[in-house]
Amino acid sequence: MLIFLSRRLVSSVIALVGVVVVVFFLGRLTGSPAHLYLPQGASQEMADNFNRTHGFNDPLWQQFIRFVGDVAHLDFGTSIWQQRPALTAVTSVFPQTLLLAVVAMTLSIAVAAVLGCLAAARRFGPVDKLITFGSLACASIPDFWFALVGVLFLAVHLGVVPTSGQSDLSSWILPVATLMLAPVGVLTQVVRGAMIEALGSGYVQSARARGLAHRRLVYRHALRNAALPIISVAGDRAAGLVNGAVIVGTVFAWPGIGTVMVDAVLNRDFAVIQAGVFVIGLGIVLLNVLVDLTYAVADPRVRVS
Amino acid sequence: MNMAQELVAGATTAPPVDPGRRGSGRRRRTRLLLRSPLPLTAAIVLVAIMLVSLIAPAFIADAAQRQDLTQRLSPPFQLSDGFAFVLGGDTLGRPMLLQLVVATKTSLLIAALSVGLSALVGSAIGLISGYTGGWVDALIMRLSDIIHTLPSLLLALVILYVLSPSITNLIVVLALTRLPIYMRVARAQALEIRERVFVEASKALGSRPWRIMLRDIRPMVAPTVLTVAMLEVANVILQAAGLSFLGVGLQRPDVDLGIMVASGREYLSEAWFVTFFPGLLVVVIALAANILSNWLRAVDDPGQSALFVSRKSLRDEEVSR
Amino acid sequence: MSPLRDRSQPAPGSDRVVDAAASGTAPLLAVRDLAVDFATDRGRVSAVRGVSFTLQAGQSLAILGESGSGKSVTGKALLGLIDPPGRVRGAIEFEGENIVGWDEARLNTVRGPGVSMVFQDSFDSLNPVYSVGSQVTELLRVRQGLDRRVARERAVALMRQVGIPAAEERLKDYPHQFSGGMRQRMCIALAIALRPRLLIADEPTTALDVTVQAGILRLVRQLQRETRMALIFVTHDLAVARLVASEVAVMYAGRIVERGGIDDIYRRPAHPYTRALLASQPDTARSWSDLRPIAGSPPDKAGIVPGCAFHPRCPIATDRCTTEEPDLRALSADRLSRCHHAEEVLDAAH
Repeated sequence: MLIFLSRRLVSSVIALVGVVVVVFFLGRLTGSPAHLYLPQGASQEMADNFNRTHGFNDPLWQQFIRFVGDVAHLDFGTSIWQQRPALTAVTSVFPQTLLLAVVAMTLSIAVAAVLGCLAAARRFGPVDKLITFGSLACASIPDFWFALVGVLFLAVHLGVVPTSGQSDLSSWILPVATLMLAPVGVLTQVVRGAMIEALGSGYVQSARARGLAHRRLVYRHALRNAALPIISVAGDRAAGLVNGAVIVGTVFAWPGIGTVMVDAVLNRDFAVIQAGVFVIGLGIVLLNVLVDLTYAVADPRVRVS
Repeated sequence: MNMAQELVAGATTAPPVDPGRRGSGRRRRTRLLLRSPLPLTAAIVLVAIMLVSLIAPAFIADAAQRQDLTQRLSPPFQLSDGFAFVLGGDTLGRPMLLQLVVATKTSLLIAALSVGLSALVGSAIGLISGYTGGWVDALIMRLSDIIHTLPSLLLALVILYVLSPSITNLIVVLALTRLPIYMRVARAQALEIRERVFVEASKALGSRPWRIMLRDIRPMVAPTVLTVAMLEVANVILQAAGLSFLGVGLQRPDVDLGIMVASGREYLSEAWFVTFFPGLLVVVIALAANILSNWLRAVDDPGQSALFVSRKSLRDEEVSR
Repeated sequence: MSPLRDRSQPAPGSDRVVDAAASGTAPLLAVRDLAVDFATDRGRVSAVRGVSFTLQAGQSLAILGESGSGKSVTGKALLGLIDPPGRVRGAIEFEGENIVGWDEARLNTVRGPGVSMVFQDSFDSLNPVYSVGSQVTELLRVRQGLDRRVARERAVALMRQVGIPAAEERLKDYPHQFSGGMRQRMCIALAIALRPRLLIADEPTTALDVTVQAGILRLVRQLQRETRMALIFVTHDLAVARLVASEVAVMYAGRIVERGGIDDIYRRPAHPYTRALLASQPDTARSWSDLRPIAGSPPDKAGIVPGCAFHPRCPIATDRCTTEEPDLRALSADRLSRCHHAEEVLDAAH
């Protein structure tokens, strides 16, 4: 297990370094970082001045070393829009997004587990067909459109939820549902496949040959094994929740990292963009470590070897 | 919206299609397709949408762009203003129906080009990575992990911000974010095939690595990559629409389905149809593509999908187990 | 004309006759006209087509056949493990009760203490995410209501009984930490935990190294004698069958084609298929020149040929064999064969 975890940790660190490099090159991709940092329509003189004072005319490797140093001090510069450190602008809203993501992911796994098990138990029957079709439909609906149609029906027509912002519990319904759309679609298929495989496996058959009750076969023997692929796909999908968070931020003006990133793009606030990509990258790397740990605990073949 | 992960997991173990039997496989698929109502419907819908959106714009491009302020946000399902306005008028009084046709063409084109680009580049990199092995392989796979780790929409958003939005950049960015899937599939297959006897034989005969890759391995990897690409069409259409919706994808006066959804946002309460119809069209296209690719997988692996197998029937392979 | 033919009973039909004659007591297991078929894309496929046999308590029977002969499906049917789209017809009477058509709950009363099974792939038959100890104690606690401590002691005793060294320490180990042979011993421990009166072993040694095979076979035979349980040993290898069973039923294309005492059949087969099977196995062929594979391929389950199912591969097939399907008929008190020319085959073995 230690070997497994240390190997995964090493690749996480490499991934993090990669994220830092990506963030660095984002700023240098166009040749003139000044155009990214400065407001649109800034004069050439201002740009030259900016490049000189911030050392953007130095050789690339010097810039990189300086950049890594800054990152090590968690210094991403100042947000020109919000007039505060870029990192603070990002981290102050991060918990909001995290909470939303955790709620959405937990519910997604629960819904997918129930639907997937139902489909697997009635394999090839009408219930299975309906659930499979439904999960494909979930994966085919654009989340931004779903969010808008949701606003149209629940907020504009029925008036049961607010159109935007974060207030009482009802304001959570649409954002959570929007975030759940894609994970539910994918995870239902994964649960179904994993359960069908587990239920058809030799160990379930031999447990059945020993006269263990059907419920015990499903819940103790099959589900525990099916949990392994579910964990890894759910972990994979969790990173994708950031995509949903961007949409939720835009459509519902939901405070969070999505809103901050979209605002930063619209207001050309490059320091915040860099800080945002770094924080999200870090978050995902940490999440992957967490998923690996969970996986290792759940699978003795990884834990004891 | 990425069902490819499952497929990637499956692709590492699934035996590659025997190139010699591809012809008969295609015939078998056609025969099966004609007998399965749901995927057949999906295929017909998809082909119909493609034909209409590819041919019609040549005749209606001008009409689609004509702004008639009297038709601004005019309600749908009324034939009094001509068939062009059967789905209503948009925010500038353009006919929704014709706008939809033009937008669909753009969306499909973007999806096709970026899927093609990433399939080509991704599988080439994956092939080289898998065949070469060693540190080259390790480096390339780490790189793919990083791209895969970052949320695709965010990555595209940021890169498009830096590069400034344009249709070319949109296609390139979409292709870039979907690269890892093809890299993994092609690499896994190349790793497996590399060990096969005929490749060994080819090596023993003194073939150069490039020749082996191109002549021996590529034909065996291609079918799997093709299947993944089919699956990816739906994902890329959704993602392109999302980027356009956020305002960093396509720019007016070009129009795709994502832009159309976005343009109706401000008028949601007065004119629901401006947002509703283009989104619905995205759903129809993506669902049809998803059903088709799901069916394709089911044909090759009957245990996989529920939609196309009748309850009381099994394959012979399963009987002997 | 051979003296054997004079002795033989020309009675047509079922193989029950011999067993009923062999013993007067009610059998532990009586299978009558068992048929199993599966619905497929290409219509119904028959895996087992009318198998009948009986088994007395403590008796050991080997079911011998190639893959696809229906031998494994027969084994599974005896435990009620055939699910739709498979269909079971006929009767399986275990201790006088016909279990065909029973629901899961009722079958579960028989599975375990009545009939139990060891499967071919030991790696596949143990749940990878639970320790072997917890899999044994789960069974004992759920089925016998033992408390944790007693179940644990009993699990250790079981593991010792099947020859697992350092049983106590290995309780907490997971299946992947065991060698193939030890894992199969673990599966046997699970199968005999509820003291079954009939154990079905479905090719339990096929996946193992030859060196390990012998140990497992010795264990199975020893357990069978100690516990006096009946044994059905499914295999494709007559030499292996000889080590554990006293009777053998040879299956071909879903039917029993020959049945009798195992040593008898080994010395003098009365069906050309059995003879071919013997000649195809390295350790039963008398010399290299005798060793030959069976010509042709096993029958396609979907398409059953008219006449004798074996005639396309049979070296002595006559016109009669291509049109008229032979019955399983008694050649002597304890020998049955489904061949029109059984007597000639028997004579030729002299």
